Parts: sequence; structure tokens; C-alpha cells
Amino acid sequence: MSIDMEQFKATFIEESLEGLDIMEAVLLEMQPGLADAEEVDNIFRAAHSIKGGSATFGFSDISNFTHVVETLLDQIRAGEREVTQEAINLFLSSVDCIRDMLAGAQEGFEINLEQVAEVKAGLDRMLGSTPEAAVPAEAETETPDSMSAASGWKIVFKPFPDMLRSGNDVVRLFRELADMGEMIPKANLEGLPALVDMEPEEACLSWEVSLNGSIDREQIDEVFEWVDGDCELSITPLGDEKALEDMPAESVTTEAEINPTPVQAAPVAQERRSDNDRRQGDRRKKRSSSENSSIRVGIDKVDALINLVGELVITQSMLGQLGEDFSMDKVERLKDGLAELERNTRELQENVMSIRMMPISFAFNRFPRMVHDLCGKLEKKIELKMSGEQTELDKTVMEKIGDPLVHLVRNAVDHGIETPEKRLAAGKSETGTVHLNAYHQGGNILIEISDDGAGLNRERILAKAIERGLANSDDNLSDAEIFDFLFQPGFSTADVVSDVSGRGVGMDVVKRNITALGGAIDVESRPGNGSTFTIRLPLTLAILDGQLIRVGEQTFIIPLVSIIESLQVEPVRVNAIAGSAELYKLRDDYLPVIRLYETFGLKPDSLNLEDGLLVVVEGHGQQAGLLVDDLLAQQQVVIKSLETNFKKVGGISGATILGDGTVALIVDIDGIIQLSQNGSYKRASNAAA
Amino acid sequence: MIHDGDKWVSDKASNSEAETVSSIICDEMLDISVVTELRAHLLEALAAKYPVRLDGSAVERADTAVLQVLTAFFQDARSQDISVQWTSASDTLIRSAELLGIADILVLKAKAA
Repeated sequence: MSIDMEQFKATFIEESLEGLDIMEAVLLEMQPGLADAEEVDNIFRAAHSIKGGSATFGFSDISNFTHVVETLLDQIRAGEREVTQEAINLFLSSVDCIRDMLAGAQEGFEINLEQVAEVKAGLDRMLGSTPEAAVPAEAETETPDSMSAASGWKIVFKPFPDMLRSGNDVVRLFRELADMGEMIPKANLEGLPALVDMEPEEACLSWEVSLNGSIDREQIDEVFEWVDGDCELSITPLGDEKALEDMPAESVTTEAEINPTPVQAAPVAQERRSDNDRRQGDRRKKRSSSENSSIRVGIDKVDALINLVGELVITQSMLGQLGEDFSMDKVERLKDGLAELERNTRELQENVMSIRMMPISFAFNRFPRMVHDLCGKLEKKIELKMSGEQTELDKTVMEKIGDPLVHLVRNAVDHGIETPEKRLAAGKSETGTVHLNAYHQGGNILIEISDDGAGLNRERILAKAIERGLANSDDNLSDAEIFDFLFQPGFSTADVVSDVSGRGVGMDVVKRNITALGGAIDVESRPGNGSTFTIRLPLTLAILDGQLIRVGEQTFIIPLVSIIESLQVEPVRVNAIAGSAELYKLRDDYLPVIRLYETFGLKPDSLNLEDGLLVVVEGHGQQAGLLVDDLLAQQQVVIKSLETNFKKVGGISGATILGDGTVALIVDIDGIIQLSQNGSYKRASNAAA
Repeated sequence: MIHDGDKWVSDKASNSEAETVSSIICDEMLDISVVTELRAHLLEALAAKYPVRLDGSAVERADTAVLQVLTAFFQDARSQDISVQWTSASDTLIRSAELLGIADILVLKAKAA
């Protein structure tokens, strides 16, 4: 009988990755010279398990590498060696290497051998052995430092499909390159499909760029800093391609083999980069792909499910018995049984949904390392505080919110927090604080990213908005309205908020990703006191609590979280403006009235306002009254994508199937408010014409 | 996300010239937020089989996603023998295409000269 080692291998890799997470977390807390015995024990144990497991599964490279780490840790544990900042950094780099090697073993691709060799050489040096013997000659001779200020560079750049979605733009990157010297770009159209087959937001092109001039390698690295982990990148001195072609075949990754023409040497050169942030990006990419495959569920949740299924089976057998010799005198028992069945089903649904819920710490965990690395790079002092890490969120939402969060935290560190000198000059402590907080509010999860930095520059944002024609100089705009301009496409945060130029992150993409999840983002900022970005997200994308409403013969669903109140229309409170839009006076506010039958082109019960009901909803930062014919039941509905099954329809976010088998459309509140505004403008302009 | 407010591109057949053409007027912001909509307009233009006139005079920003879609459009049009011409193109549009090395494919380089 043969044993399927694959299943154990997957478990080993998963456990090893968790061990590495522990190692990383402890290392980030560790202070030079102050190593706590327990801390070192924790790291040692994780390294020891990885070494043992990898040897068992035949991953000799991981085992050999981890052995050196383990030996060093053992010396520290025995008090023979002191903990230095250099050692901590080296261990962190080792964590990255082991993680890459594990990911390579899991996904079956070749890893960055030079990067591993480089770190191993550092470990060997520390151990007192001769590092040169362990490092391939190429790695020693081709470090970035030794390649600075060449007469020109050949850059092979292949964005990963998702790169553009994360707000990065090749035009901007190449513009920066063009500013350095003579740039000759050559686009490779091989990956470009026909327009009809094209996923327009995905990157399909790749480039080979010759950059002539006396340019430091570091300058080019800086340009590509924000796309680290989002692309294949090769940077070689011009005329050095021959050397790369001579590299051993095993150094070339699988990805390069798929696209042999332009990027044959890409991964080799990419390995030369020793920048921590790049590794962070690479790791994030690899982790996110592996995270999709499985989910770890607490035993208590599984036990609760088993209990519920047990109860369901009992109810079902009770109903079965009842059905065998049913008579009318048993109708009460039948009703009780059905009520029980309903309760069981609802609880089962809630519990199954809770399996998909994961603490947001899964998304937060990457930030200590990221902030640590960015601090080193930007020469800033920042304390990262995190609270509410146990707040639970749907796994899908969590995976999709990761990148926007990275952008916001990066922005807070890069643009928000000032340098220690500026902070001291402003009378603040030299260490800035970035605070990540998560909590539940109603049916939503709120994530706050706040910093105590310089705050947003209201005047410069407004000036930029006026310059871009987004606002008029005589507009009396609130802070919130002005800060909202940051989310406009092409509104460069770098220009406006900080002096760090050229790498402004696309806040419009951040907002778009959040909106696509059914969420919203707000900004608050006070000059000198910092900014707070608040992300509001639904807890799950699969189910929503909905209010069923009727318009004519159609049933629609309005998300319950969007509804503020529902009321009978009093005609005296309705005002028509310029013969187009209608406003309803509700207490001290005026709400625009949206006649849903008009928006969706339906025949209503009555055209008179007073015959219908007004459902007051809030979306897109404003309130509106939706005119409906009738309010029906409230119920949880399972959301089906309209886009996947049909096509995107304005004002509709999805569909569901009701108990009677009919399809009901779910109203997109933000969309409907926007649609109605555009419609009103049109009506107004028609009237004017 | 649905693009809000002003309509950034219009697509219509015109009889003012000797032959029927599809005209597409690009608005100032040509970026990833509007690329899906732009692609739909370009596909319609390809399906119509008429010569296409693009007006890029107002373009203040053209990003990679949009330029990529335009490249695919020009290639498809070429393979289907559909003539595509720019009636006008802004410097920004031309410069962005040059930066990506696709100005020749988009027939934008000659305009810059």
C-alpha cells in the first residue's frame, strides 16, 4: 500500500508558513541586545520544525538553508552570540527566502537561487565560515552596487495581468525613465489578444527598453519600486545580455519559459535585487494565490455545524413520520415541525457563513513588516498600532481589500507621517503613529487607517481641483467634499499631499476596488494632526438582508443597511424644482425623490405620489427617497451576479431567486442615485433647450 | 463602476462626409476607469465596418489600459481592412503612446512630427 505523501506535503507547507509568520512577528518585536529567551525559543522551534519537515519531504535546499539559521539561533539561545540588528535583518531575510522556497516547492516553480545564495552567504559569514565558497561567482560580482552608473541599461518589463488594477501605470513609470536619459521603448504585442477577447483592465503588453545615459541602478530601482511583485523585471547593463544568456538553465523560472522571447533572463536579473520591499511584494503575490486554495476553520465552528446537522436530521425524521399517517388533527404538530425546520435551516446558514469569516488580522499581519521596511527606506520613525484584529470578515472580502489597504498604509507612511526632523520642528514626538483599527457597525465592518502626520493640504487639493476643472473657485465646499477629489482619476496625491514625487498611488483605483465590494471610503483630516481613512465594507458578499418592494408588477430588493426609514408621502411636502427634479421635505432636509418606475421604465399602480410609499435610503454619501408601490417582506437573499449571468445593468447590483422561484433584482442604491442625478440633469437641460 | 456624470465619448454615424463613418470623440480623461466603456464603443465601431474617425484632441491623460485597448483596436481594424484615422490628437496622447513605444501602431507619431 502506498501512502499519498502529497496530502502531508500540503499540510507541512501550510504549517511551515504559519511557523514563518510566527518567526517574522517575533523578529519584528525583537530589540538588539535584548533577546528574550522565550522569543528566541519560539523562533528556534519554528526553524527546527521546518528543517525537520523539509528533510522528510526531500526539500534538501530548504533543509540545508534552515539548518544554518537554526545553528545561529541555537548559538543565540545558548548565549554564545548576541542579538544584533544585523542578525535580526538577516533572519528576516531568511524568513523571506524560506517562504519563497516553500512557495516554490508548493507551486512547482524555480526559485530565486541568487537571492537565497546571497542571504545564505550572510548567514555563513555570521557563523564564521567562508561565505565566498557558498555564493556563486555571479552573485558576488553583480550586486547592484557594483553595477551603478553604467552607460546604459536594458530593461525587460512584463507586468502581471493585475498590475494596472492596483493603480500602477506604465506610462508614468516610463515617463520617469525618459526623464533620466534617452529612452527607447519597444513594445511586445505577443500577449495582446483581439479586442473582443480582451480583458481591458488586464495588462497584456510587455516591453524591452533601452535607457542610455550615465544612470545609477538605484535610480531605476526606485522607478519600479511600486510595481515590485506585480511584474517580471530584468535590469541589465547594456551589452551585458550575453552574460545573462550564459547563465545556467536552472536559474530561469517557469514564467520565463512560457514567454521565452523577451524575458528569458528576467528572473535571473530580478534575483539580484535585494530590496526587502520587493520580497514583501513577491511574497504577497505568492501567498495570495495559495490562500485561495484552503481555509482553516476552528474546531468549535465545525462542532457547531455537526450539532446543527444533527438537529436537522431529527426534525426531518419527525416530519417524515408525521407525513406517513397524516391527519388534520396533526396540523399543529406539522406547523411546529416546519417552524423548527426553518430555524434549523437559518442557523445552519448562519454557521456555514461564519466558516467563511476570518479575523481581519489575516490582512493586518503583513503591515508590521511592511512598515518596518518602509521606515528603514524612508528614514522615518513610525509605530504601528493595530486594534480590532479579531474582527471577522468574509474571506473573499478580505482577499480583495488587501491591496487597497496596502496602498493606504503605504501612503500613510510615505506621505502622511513626516520625517523625524519635521516632526520635532512641529513640536511633535519624532516617532509617528499609524493606527489600523477594525470594528463592526451594523451590517458593516469599518476599517480605519489613521496617522498623526501632517494631514492633507486642503488648499492645495482645492487648487488642484479648480485647475482640473473639478470645482469652481466660488464653490463653497466642505472639507469632505474637497478631500473626495483625491479619489478622482489622475488626481496625483504625490503632487498634492507630499513632496515625494512621481509615485502617487492611484487613489481612484483604491476607491473603485472598495466600491466594487459594495463598500465606501471616507477621509477626515486636520492640518498638523494627521488623517483618517475609513473604509466601510459589507461583512459578506454572498448574502444580504433585503427589503422586498414592489413597483408595478415587479419585485425589487433594497439592501436593508441602506434604508433609513419608509413613509407615506404627504403631497404638501413635495416641491418640484425647475419642472424637473422633485424634492421631499423631511424634517429639516430636502430629499430628491426617485420614482423607481421611471428609472426602470415600468408601469406603476399609480402616478400619484400620495398613492405610493417613500423609502428613504442613503448611498453615495447622500440621502434620497425611492418611490415604490408597496413594501413587501424583509428577508435574507442570496446574491447572484447579474453581470455573470446576463450583463451589467445600471442601478442594479445583482439578482436573487425568491421562494416562489421568481427572479428579483437588487437595487444598487449608489448607482440609482447617480442615475437619477444624470437623468435630472438631462431633463433640466432638455427643458432649458 | 458606472462612469458618472458627463458622457466622455460619443459614437455615431455621420453622413456629412462622402461616406458613412463611425466617429468617436475621446474625452479628457482616458484611463482604466473608463476603459471597459471605451472598449465597448470600439467594438461597436469594428462591428459597424465603417471607417473610423477618432478625435483625441481633448485628451489630457491616457493611461496604459486605454492605450493597450487602442492598440488592439488598431490591429483588429487593420486585419479587417477598416480604415482608422485620428482627426486630431492632443500632445499628451501622442506623448503617452510614444512612451509606450506604440505610437507607430496607433499612427500617432506622424501627427507629432
